[in-house]
Amino acid sequence: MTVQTARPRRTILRRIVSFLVFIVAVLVVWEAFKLLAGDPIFVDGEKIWDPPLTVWLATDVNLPHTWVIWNRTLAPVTSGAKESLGGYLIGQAVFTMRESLTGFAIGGVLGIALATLFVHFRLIERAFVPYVVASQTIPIIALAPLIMFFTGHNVSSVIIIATYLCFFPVTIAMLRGLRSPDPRALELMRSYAASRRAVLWKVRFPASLPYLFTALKITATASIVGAIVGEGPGGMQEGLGRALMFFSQQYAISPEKLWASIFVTAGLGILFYLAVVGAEQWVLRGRPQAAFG
Amino acid sequence: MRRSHRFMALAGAAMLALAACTPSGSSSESPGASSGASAGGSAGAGVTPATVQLQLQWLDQSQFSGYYAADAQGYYAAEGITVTFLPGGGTVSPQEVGSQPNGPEFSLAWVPKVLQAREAGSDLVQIAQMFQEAPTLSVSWKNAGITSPADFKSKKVGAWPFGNELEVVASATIAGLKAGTDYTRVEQDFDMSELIAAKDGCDASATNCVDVAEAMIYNEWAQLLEATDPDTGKLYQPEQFNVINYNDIGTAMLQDSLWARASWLAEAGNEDVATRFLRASFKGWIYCRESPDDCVQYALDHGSVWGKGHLAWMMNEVNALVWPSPDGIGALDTAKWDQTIETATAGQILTKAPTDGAYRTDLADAARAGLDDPIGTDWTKPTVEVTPGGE
Repeated sequence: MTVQTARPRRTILRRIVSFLVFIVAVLVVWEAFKLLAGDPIFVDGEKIWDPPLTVWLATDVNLPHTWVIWNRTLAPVTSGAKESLGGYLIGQAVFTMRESLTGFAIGGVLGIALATLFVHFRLIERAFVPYVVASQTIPIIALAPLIMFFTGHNVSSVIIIATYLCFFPVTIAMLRGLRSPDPRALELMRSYAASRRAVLWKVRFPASLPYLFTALKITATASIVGAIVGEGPGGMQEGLGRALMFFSQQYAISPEKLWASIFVTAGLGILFYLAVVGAEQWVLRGRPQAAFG
Repeated sequence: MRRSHRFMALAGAAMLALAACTPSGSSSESPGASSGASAGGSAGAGVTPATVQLQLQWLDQSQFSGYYAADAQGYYAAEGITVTFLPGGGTVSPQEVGSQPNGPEFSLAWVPKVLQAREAGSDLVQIAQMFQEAPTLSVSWKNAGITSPADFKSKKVGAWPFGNELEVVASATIAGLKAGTDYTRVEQDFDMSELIAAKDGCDASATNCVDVAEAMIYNEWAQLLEATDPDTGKLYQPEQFNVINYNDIGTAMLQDSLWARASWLAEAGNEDVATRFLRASFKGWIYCRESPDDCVQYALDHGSVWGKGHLAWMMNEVNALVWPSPDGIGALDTAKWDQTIETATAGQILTKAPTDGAYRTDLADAARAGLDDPIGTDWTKPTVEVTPGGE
């Protein structure tokens, strides 16, 4: 994804600065839109600003003021609670993260195993790949009750859903990756009379890594989606899925709670994605950029 | 060589992550979710301990505080029962979850939707009727002029999915209106924003509003009154709305009853477990009648993130649905059952009246025997003030 430059620290700094500039720009546009077309602003019951236009999207219910969201995040999650809304949401995010990481890891291992199997046994590949593809056409909401039926209402059902969303991209990308080595490299190994295992270990796996990471970047976020979707029917007592459900019910009276939850959920996704990118850069360090991306 | 080492390191890290996250966080382990065995002393002699699940009708809130109280006060433990609460909400249909052969032993659900499930083959049997009154309202702005289901004509009518819409839909059918041709049925969000959006009228082509919204008297009705009018900066007032209460127009249907599978009840010893479960639950509701503030706290302890003000309103309204119970807590008023069936069949929710066996009263009667004041004759509904934002 990125080139290792001679001055990596400066690159990182530049990225951080451009990210911050982007955030500030979003906030400015957000508030400008509200000033122009939102609801009147009251201070101590006095109307201090009446916007010239009225646009449904800019009302306080649909787009709360950014400072309202921020202040709500710092305020107690429920009246009198010691924990702030932000602290509560981070706690729920940790719970969801554990579910999704587990699904991510199992899905990844399953995907790699399936691809390795398929690449060595054409017959199995031809027999099973259609089913692997077909499995992904079933909507997860249709499958969730079925999974609950088999596992009961507990955390394993949530992990199965996250795994289900994760294994497919890894299988397909790894299959491609394991077939990607230069034919000359494979011929060379054959001329050495290298075993299948040696070819797999020394040529195929290393060549597949860039493909694997592309898939893992997809599954990093997919695993979170799977965990959140599964938490509702799974009857979880905790997690972001439950928090999102709670706060969407409170949207009419305090929309800022749902907005805060959405930001934390997005933050979790970004964090997970960046972790995979970091791992990728470490594992693939020294490789030419053209090999992956 | 080096590359394969990296792959190994990566695989190792993945395994480690897997090992580290293999969940210990199953739902039953979170604090407050299961019976504290220490809380209520030891079970009586000769009682077989039992572990059961209770599927709730919705997300954790004071609607279920009677059961939380039975747990926190040790009533379940005293009966030798460990209860795990399964929260509902979103796409969870308690009648479907509870119908599964390996589903929870007890489910809390509304009568008409369980009867629908029974028509589809479920063997759920009602063992106790908790709410004596139905809480469903249809709320609209005064200026829309909707005071009865007949006024739904040509309007956008909000109702929830998953069997929570049946009173609204059946009442419209009884008023001679057909969804799609006479009125537009809108699958309502789980909050009141669509009704708030209709304050200055709801255009037929608009997608963000409904003319009339379904509301529970203990929850969404309060949400409306807790919301601030952006034009005035003040809370909305009850006088601004027309409220259809289905109890008043005779098409109310019973809600919040406890159900168990007939096949489960038929197994040796399970009727006894059910009776003990009911006895402890009834005691929990008596506790919430006497100490509503504690019961608000129990809902918070169970992870509800509603504000205390909202939960206090809900507790008060729910108490008013349970108390007084003229025939004793958990008793089924057969006249109201008959009204439910009549509404459901006339409203084309059910194809025909259910045959015998959809409910039994013997377990609740046995559970109630010997309880202290199971009627609540002297209970009068206290006044609970609306708090801004439900805080």
